[in-house]
Amino acid sequence: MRLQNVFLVILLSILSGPALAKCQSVAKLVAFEGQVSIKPNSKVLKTSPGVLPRSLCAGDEIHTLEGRALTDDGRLSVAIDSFSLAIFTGVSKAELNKGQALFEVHKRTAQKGVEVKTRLSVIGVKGTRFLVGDKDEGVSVVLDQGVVDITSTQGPIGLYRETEVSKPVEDDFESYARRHAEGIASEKNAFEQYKTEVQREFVAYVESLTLEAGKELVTQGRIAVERKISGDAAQAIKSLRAWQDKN
Amino acid sequence: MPLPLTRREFTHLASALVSLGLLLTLLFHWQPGPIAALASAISDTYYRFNPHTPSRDIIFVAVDHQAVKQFGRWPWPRQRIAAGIEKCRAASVIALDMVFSEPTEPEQDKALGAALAQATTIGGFLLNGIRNLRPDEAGMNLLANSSLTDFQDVRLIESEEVELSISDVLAGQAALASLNTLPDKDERFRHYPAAFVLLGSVQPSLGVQTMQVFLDSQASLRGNDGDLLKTAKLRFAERVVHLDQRGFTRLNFYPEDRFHTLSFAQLFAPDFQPDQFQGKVVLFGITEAGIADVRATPLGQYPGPLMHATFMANLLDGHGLQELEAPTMAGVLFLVLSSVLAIMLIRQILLRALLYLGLASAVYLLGLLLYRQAGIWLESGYAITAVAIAAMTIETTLLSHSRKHAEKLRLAFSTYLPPGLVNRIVENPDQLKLGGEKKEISVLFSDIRGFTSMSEGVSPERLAEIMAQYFQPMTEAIFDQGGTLDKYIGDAIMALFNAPLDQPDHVLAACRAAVAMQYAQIRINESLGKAGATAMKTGIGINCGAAIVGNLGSSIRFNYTAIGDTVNLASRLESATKKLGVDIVISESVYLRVNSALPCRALGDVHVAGKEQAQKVYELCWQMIADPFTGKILHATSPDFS
Repeated sequence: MRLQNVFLVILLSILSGPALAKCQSVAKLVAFEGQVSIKPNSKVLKTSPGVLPRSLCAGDEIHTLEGRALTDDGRLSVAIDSFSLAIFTGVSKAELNKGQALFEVHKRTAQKGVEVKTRLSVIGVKGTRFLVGDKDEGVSVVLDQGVVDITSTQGPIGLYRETEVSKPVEDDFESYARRHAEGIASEKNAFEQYKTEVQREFVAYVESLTLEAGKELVTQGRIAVERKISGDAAQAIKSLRAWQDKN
Repeated sequence: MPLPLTRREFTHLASALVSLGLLLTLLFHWQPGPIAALASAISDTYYRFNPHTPSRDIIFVAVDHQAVKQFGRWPWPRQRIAAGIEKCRAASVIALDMVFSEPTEPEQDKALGAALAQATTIGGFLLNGIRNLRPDEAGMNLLANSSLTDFQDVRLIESEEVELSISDVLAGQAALASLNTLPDKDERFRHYPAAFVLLGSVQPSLGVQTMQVFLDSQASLRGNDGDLLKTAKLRFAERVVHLDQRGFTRLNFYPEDRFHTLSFAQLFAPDFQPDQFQGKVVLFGITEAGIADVRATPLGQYPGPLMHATFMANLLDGHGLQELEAPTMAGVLFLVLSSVLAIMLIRQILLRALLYLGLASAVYLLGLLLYRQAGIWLESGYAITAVAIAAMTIETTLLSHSRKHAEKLRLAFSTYLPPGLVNRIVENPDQLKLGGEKKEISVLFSDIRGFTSMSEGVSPERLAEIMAQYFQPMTEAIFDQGGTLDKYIGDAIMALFNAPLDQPDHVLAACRAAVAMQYAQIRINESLGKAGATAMKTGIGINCGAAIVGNLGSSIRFNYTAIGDTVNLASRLESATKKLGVDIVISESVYLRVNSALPCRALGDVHVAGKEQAQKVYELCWQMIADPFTGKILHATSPDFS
């Protein structure tokens, strides 16, 4: 009997060998369009996605140029926009290193364990749909639905909140512009600068915060600004959602 | 220092050298064609001293003359190329410096694609090639797969047009890479591009892509983000390639024959060993004359494929070069210019010239040393140019200063000194101490006796004529003996000997001048007599001793003169001539120096104004001395001579 067990273990080991050699799938590439490449973990050269759905191993990277890609692991779907780089580090764990991607958690019950990293923060997901972007102007987290916890990976950051510009502020600006006309390239630039100064209100130094739906947080260096979703972000979400729904 | 420059001249010179340093730094930064070509003509010679051999991990398979002779004119049927590539299947990576952009027979094209697929093959494409086509979807996808992803702040050259291989060939290639290289402004190829931007993606060059696969290391490209103190870099783990602002690196060229090269024909030789390619990089390229892309490099005509091989070999064995950035070059230039300025302190022009040459040679050798020992590329041409221009500027300034100084000296002394002496001063200005010094001199004073009574009966115009007639020969007599005309004081003359220039026999010279003046007086009197004028007599006093000489006076007006007891006594001796009834009276100090050479007569002790004690004085018996002008003696003996 004991000998039989030993043989069984050996047999199972032999049979499961190739399966173990092949990596564990952490997500699947379910759709793409345009120039999309996959760089398998520990490989130097990228390859084309090939036949869909294509399994992604931990550490695999999806690179997009003029193209988009959609991944799904059952709990989390990621719509990767053009000129982006996303790395899938584990099940429902992803990093966005460049560009932007729309993350969507399918069920409220599936939120636990979903984690998205950027070069400046870790996003713990409580909500269902959010756009993450890493561009020249900073790293942004745009929350469309639900709630997310954002933790800075670079220690405490100064949190500012933007308020809307009202008419009296515009009047104040006119006198401000008159006083500071010299040395400022144009009134428009001056107004933008003035708006930024007036609208930003320092809140606190924080290491983590909770972002509510309809808000976006833009982090650059050690400053994070919380504001309403901008038109560009709303447009990006709309575009990616439309493509996601189509696929 | 040859002649100390004035503060203003030094400021101008220093400003010129600083401007030169800045100008050369800017030229180094901008590299305008002709200037860069001149500079490179010097530094290109360093490549002749490259001690390295390229890595044996790189094997160049050349479509050369032997292969063309064996398989016929290029282009060959693609199955032939496929057969050659199959022979290299053991290679770690195959790099193709070829683009198959025209379709041939489908089975031929497919055969090549299939052969390429059996190994890890990096194919090439040409930016702005001859047959530019918008890549199809497969081409775009392969370009996407081939692009570099780890890059930041780079300013690469961009292109929208590309010549790719046909899709059947592309299908067998693991990745693509750019085959383009660009010449420097003088049309010579010295630099190798890390990557280009093609249709929005960063595409590596063949060498970079091949090394990514061979080293199994992803390349990371970092720009300097506009910071002149930082260099752009391409990294493969620990290996670093230094790049310029465009993302190009300077290649360290090896002589062509040092590469491990095989003819394509040798792949089909009976003794061919495919195992020799195991784990190697195999680069396919064309060297056959007429079809090869031959490049003009510092080592002469060089096969284009070896540019890629050179980059790879530089990377593998750490033979790459780092070019100095503009701020470092500015430091080198200013160090060199400071050295040139220090050479200016050397007195002898020949020694200075040798030191300029030595400095230029040292700069060249420093560049060579940095190249061979540290892989640092110093464009020594700029520093050598700095030495040459700075040396010319300094020498021109010194020459101009010397001329101005000579002119100034000539102006200052031509009224005091005979032209010969002025020339000596100009030629050896360092003999001259103009600030005032105490030195032994001889002082001669002369005066016309009875000048006041004589001048009363003569009109001012006639008097001026007579004085001109008098002063001319008298002054010439002083100049002939190397004396300095200090001044005319009415009808009197004051002359110095042994100042400003040293005159070893100054006492004797002063006495001879006095003698000449007395003979000149005779000739003047003869002339005056003919004109019906009264004859004149000149009394001369000579003394020697220490006095203060130099440019004395105020900043408003000064002149070269002497002051002190020696001068006063000479003046008193001249005054005493009338009372003593002789023409030339000399002091005891003069007498002691000349009595062995000239006839003198003691006149006894005489009280002179300003001296408490009586002074021993002597008559210089000039009549017994030959006229320096005619050579005749007035009297062989003097009745009073003792």
